[in-house]
Parts: sequence; C-alpha cells; structure tokens
Amino acid sequence: MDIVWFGEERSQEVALVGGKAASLSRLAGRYRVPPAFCLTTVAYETWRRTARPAHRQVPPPLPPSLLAALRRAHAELERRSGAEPLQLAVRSSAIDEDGAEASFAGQHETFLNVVGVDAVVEALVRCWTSGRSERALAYRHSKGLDGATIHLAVLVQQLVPADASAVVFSADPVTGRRDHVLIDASFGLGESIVGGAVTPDAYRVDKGTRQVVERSLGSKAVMHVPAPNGTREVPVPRPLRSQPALSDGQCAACAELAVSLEAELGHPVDLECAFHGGDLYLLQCRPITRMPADPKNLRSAAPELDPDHRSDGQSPTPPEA
Amino acid sequence: MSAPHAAPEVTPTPIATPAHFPIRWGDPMEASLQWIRDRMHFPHTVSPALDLFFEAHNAGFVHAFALYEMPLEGLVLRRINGYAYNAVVPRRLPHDEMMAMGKRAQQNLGTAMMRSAEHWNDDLLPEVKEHLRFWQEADPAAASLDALIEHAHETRRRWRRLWEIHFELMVPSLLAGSLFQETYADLFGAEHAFDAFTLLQGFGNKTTEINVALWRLAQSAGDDVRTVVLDTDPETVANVLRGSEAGRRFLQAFDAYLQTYGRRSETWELQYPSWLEDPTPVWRMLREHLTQPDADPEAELARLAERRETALAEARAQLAGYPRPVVEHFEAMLRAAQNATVLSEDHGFYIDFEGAYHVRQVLLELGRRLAAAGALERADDVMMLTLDEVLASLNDSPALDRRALVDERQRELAVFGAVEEPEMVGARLPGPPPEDPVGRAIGRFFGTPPQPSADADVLKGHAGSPGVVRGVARVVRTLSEAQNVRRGEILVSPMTAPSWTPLFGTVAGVVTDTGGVLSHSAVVAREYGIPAVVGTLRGTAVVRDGQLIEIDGSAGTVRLVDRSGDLA
Repeated sequence: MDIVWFGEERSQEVALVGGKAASLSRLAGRYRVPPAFCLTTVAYETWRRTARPAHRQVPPPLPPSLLAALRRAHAELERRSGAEPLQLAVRSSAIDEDGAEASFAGQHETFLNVVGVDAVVEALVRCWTSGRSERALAYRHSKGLDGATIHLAVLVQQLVPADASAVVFSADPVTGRRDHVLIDASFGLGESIVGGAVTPDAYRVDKGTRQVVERSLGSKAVMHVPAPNGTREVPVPRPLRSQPALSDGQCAACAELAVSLEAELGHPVDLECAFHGGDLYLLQCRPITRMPADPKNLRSAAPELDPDHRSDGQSPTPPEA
Repeated sequence: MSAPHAAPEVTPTPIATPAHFPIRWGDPMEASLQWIRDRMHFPHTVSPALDLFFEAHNAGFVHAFALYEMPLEGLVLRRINGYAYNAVVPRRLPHDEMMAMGKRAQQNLGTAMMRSAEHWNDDLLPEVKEHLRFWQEADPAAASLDALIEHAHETRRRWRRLWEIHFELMVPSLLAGSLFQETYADLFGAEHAFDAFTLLQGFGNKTTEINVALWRLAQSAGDDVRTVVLDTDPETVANVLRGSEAGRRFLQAFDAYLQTYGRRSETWELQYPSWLEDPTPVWRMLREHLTQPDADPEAELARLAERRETALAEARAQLAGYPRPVVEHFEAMLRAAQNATVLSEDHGFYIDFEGAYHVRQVLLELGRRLAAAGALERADDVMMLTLDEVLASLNDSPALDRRALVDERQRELAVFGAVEEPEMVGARLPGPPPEDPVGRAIGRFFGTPPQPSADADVLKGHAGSPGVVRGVARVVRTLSEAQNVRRGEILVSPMTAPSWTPLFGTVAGVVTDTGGVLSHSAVVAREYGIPAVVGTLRGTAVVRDGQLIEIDGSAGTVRLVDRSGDLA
C-alpha cells in the first residue's frame, strides 16, 4: 500500500493520497488526466519511523523495499506516458488525522520538471522533510495540532509540457451566471496564470453553443517553460503576445470539458488544464467555492433586480434602438 | 452609437530654418510635416529630374499603405533646395479608427510577410520583368517625337507601378526582419539580439551573385589578359585587349557580364551613368579580384551558410520543450526573415536599378531631342529639368528654350551644395514617434540617433555586422572616390548603395553615417562576413582619411586608435 496508481480503487481514498489526488484519480479513467502514482501516507509513516531522534536533522534514506518499488513505478510511468525523457511533477499534500486536507504553510511542496528516478527520490524526501520542518511544526503547534498526527501523501505525475494552459470556470464566479464558461489562458505552463505572472487572455464561452462570445487578449509578457531541474520564466516573443493563446476550437474544448465535469459532479467547477500536441489534459478539478446565486433565478424571484447584462459586453438590445 | 473619440490634438511646431536655407513651401500641408534628411539614399544634392523618381516612390508607398490598411497615408520624399527629405504623412482619422486600422494592418502585414517569397516569385517578379521587357524592346532613339513623348508617358506609368510593387514587397519584408530580431531577443536574451542575423546569412542574393559572376570572370582571365587588365588604365583597357585573340575573347565575356548585370549605377539617382554606359567601375573591381585570387566569394558564402546551420541547430535545441505555438512562431518568423533578407537585395536589382536605368535612357533621349532643337546646351542637361518641363518644351514648336533655366538651377545647386543642410525641416511633431512594430522596423532601416559616447576616442553607431577589425580608414563620399580603397582598409562613407557592394569584397570593414541594422549596408556586410558599424551620423566628419581605426560591428563602435590622421 506504499504506492497506488491513478485509476486504482485505493487511490481514491482521501486518507491515503489526499483530497486533491483522490478526486483527480476518480476522474482519471474517463478524462485525459496525465498518468500518475501516489506515495501514500503509509509510505510516509514507514519512512518516518526509520528516522532516529538523534538524527533529526538528517533526512533518513528510503527503506530499500520502498526504493525498489519506486523504481518499478517510475519505469511503469515511463511506459504509460511514452514520453522521453519523462518530465514529472512531484507534489505533496498533508492530511489531518480525520482525513481532511490540511492547507497551511509548508504543507504543500511542488517540484516541476523532475527528470530521472534519482531526482524523484530527492524531491520525495524534500516533500516529506518539509512536512516536518521547524516552521511547519511551529505552525501546527500554534494551531494546537500535534505534528505526529499529520500525514503526508506525495503525488508523482507526468508533467505535460503545455503549449498553452488554461484555468476554466464552468460558471461565472463573479456574477453567478450559469450559462457562460470563463477561461483564462496563456502560453506555456500554468504557473504563469496561477502565480499571477501574466495578464492572461480571458475568454467567455456560451455554454449552449460553445461559441466564444467575448475575448479579451491579455499582455502575456512571460511564460514558464521546463528548464533543467524546474521551470524558467522567459519572455513571450513580442509579436506573439498579441496572438490568442487558444483558438476558438480550443476554447470550445475547454468549455466541453467544464460542462461535462460540472454535470458529473453536480456543482460548478474550476479546472486547471493544459493543451499539448492538440490534446487537452485535465490537471485539477475543484468545486467553485462561494458561488453567487444565479441571476436568472434572482430575476424570477425579484424581477425588480435587473441583472447587469452589459457586464459581459453583450447588450440584449442595442442602445438607442 | 457612441461618438468616436476625437483624435488627440496634434500641433506641429514649425522648425526655424537657417538663413542660408530658405524654403518655399508649395502647399501649406507640406510645411506641417516633419521632413527628415534622407542621407541614406541621397547623401548629396539631387537633380530636378529625380522628381520623377520621387513621384513613383511616393505613389508606391501610398499603394502599399492602402493595400495593408496601415494607419499612415504615405511616406513621401521630396527635393528641398536640392536635397532629398522624407516625411511620414499620418492618416487624418479619429483615434478609434486609427487603432482599429493599426490592428488590421498588423494582421495584413503578418499574412503578407509569411508568403512574400511566393508572392514575389509567382506574381510580382513576372510583372516586373514584363515592365522591363517593355523598355528592353523599345528603341527611343529611333522613335518619332510623338512616339517618344508617348513612350515617356508610358515610362512614367510603368515606373510608378514598379514602385508600387517595390513597397508592396518591401513593407512586409522590412517588418519581418525587424520582428524576427525582436522574437530572437525575447527568446535568447536581449544581449544576444544581434546573433539573430547569423540565422539569416549565407543564402546569397542578386547582389552577391553579381560579385560571384565577376569573380568567375576574373578567374577566367589568362596570364596575358591578366597583365593587360592590371597594367592598363580602365579607360583604355578595352582598346588594348582588342589587339589580341585572347583579349577579344575576354572582352566578349566582359560584355556578356555587362549585358546581364550592367544596368545599375552608383546610387538611386538618375544622373550617374550605368556600368553599361561607363564600365570603368567594373574594370576596377575586376582588378581587385585579379590581385586577390584566394578571396573566393562563393567559398565565403558557403562558410556563412555553414555557420548559420550550426547556430540554427543550437537555437532549436534551446527551444526544445518550449510551447509549440512559440516554436512555430520562431520557425515562421525565421522563414519570413530569411526570405526578406534575400528579397531586400533581389528586388533592387530589377526595380531600383534596372528600372532607373531604363528611365535614364528615356530622359537622355528626350535631352538629345531638346539639344538638337537648341533648347538645351547638352543632352544630359535634361537632368536639370522635371519631366513636365521637358514635355512642355517638346510640345512647343519651336521647343521652349530651357538653357537659362538650366543655368539658374545649376548655380542654385552649386550654392546649396556648398552649405550644410539642416537635418530636419518643416514642423516638429510633438512627442516621440509611435512605439509600434512598424515604427521600430522603420527605425531599424533608417537608423535611430546613436547613443552619445562617453569616450572622446570612440564614435558610436549601430551594430551592423558582427566582428572586430582594425585598419586604415578610407573616407569615401562617392563611389568614384572609392578607387583609392585598398584591400584590408576600412570603408568610411555616408551610405553604400547596392552597386557599391563589390567593394565589400575588398575592404576589411565598413562604417556608415546612415542606416540601421536592416539597411542595405548592414545586410550586405553580413553577407560578406565583414564587420560593419552603421548609422554613426558623423563617421565621415569625425574619422580622418588614413587614420587607424578599430571597429566593433557587434557593439556598434568605432575607436580612433591613433590620431595621426589628423596631421594628414
């Protein structure tokens, strides 16, 4: 139970792999999710017990059986991805005693573009060690949480060398409108959008027709690209910045994915995804938190509240008509 | 409909002109434009006949700007007191419409630059050749006066059309070169921006072809011919060669060379004889080739091509793993810029030079008719008249006497030729020029003012062609002065027209007063693999003939190594 694969039943157990990995794993069979395996909380426990109190500062090596299993899993991932060399993302998530995702400082480490099994081992140990850092322990102590009750899971997943990345909302999280899909997109890996390094393109897609109804091209001055031992922020060539990161067809594909996930999960969702070689990969899927009420319902309940139709630039009737 | 934004108020400030340079503006609109001296194409005074060229040139820009929906009306050249000045004519449109038009232009130019090579080869060049054939097959000397006048009108129409084609091709090409440099700088670092040109070199073009052909001609010379050409004055060498069988055979090959490549002259002006009319410059270049049989221009091109492919392989390796749209963009811009580099020389062979050659022949024939009628002293005084004046004279019976007018114009040109002309006249536009891709491309062609130099011994210009070289400076203001240039020396000149190119096979480096990284001088220097610093503004004024200088073509600097030239 040290290592479980996306698509396997056990990989959907939050207590073993963490909430995000579990929910993504549930979708892995039916959606194009990059292949991945998890080092479970059990593996973390095994490793942690090998640490002797006297050697607190030195991270203990991987137990030989775990190391062997990791090597086999890495080889299998290479086979499944078909990528040469295989670029990986290694991410940790912390899980409370009760199985809830713990989202506080030092609990989530991410290593991108990890290449080779030795580098995976190094990233894995750093994920595990960071969960026990002075800072993390002090933080937990201040919250009244005992360090020993926190478990760590680590996800090892193929890194999609994205041509363009997108964050997609299956409904408008600002106005509450349910009939539009909103997409933020930019060139390269998603870090530049999520980290706020760029003003991405913003697309608004009609949920019914999958047509782009509004497009605002962002400045997209930089992009993140894979670089040795990580990623690098580099300028987007100036003449390319004014070009859209996504074609209309790609916007429609993003909308399609969002609509389908929303229907499956039963609530508006927020996705991270990436295009590579013409394929759309799903990297993350979460419910939209604090979703405002649908203005359409508001209107029927209280017709005097006129929703601001102009906020999307699509006036229902031309002014001065 | 909301009201469109009004255009921002543009109030040009009139520029005070020096007392020695009074300007009579024909049209008040012209006085409101910002006229910049075009030293790059016309370093010296120009004759009134060149108005015919300006008319074609200006029509060409109007055509191209309209075709690509650019937010500019035109880029006009005109003669002011005998000097060529150019000005950008903005479109008078509301701000919103200007912005929308700018976007459309970007789209249109982007599409055009991707297929400029096909457009040239499939559509434009065949049409250009058709126009040239019109002139090649005409015989103005044998034409009746009426037929000649009709031929002149047709020449005027066809020349305009040639310049429409010129800018239809060159506006997107220039932009391609400029955008590729920006793409390269963003991908590989601004400090390596100049390396972009390594990826564009070694393809050869019509200009290098002319030089390779001459080099081959030189190689074909036997020992006897070689001795004659090296020891005889270029003016009489043909007569001496006619005295021997080998000499006659060589002359035949030489004439065939002139028939193929000789329809070009010193600059874009009309008053200089072409190589066909006066082959002296070709004999001089031939001598240079004979004295340096190892300087094989084809081998040099092959070396540049090999370096290009090595650099390209490195660049592609660096981009492995980059987003596909970025890699595709790089490859597309590379292809567009490589094509543009070749086209930037090839079009000139046909349009700029052979076109002008034929126009010159028509003007000279008109001049002969006027001289025969007593309206001109000499046939080539026709260059002192505009075509309209010439035609008006010929339509009069007897022909209107233009001798006094020619005298007056010649005196006027002599007066203005002796003064220093202002760099800018008309009205100064408020604020800096617009920061857009087209503006930056124009800057890279004409050159922008160089950075001031902190070191009194260092003159700053723009990087033109990479490499560092030290040598004796040879300051050359016209091509005829270039006969003193020796192998290994550094050419310092106001500009270099494509017909100066064979000199690039002789000199060790080039410094120009004018131009940017995409100017003719820079493009050709890179194709010859010699360092060049362009756009120094003051190179010919600061560097003394015979002075030892060191130029850094990547940094764009000229170091005055010793000041002994000052004593000369």
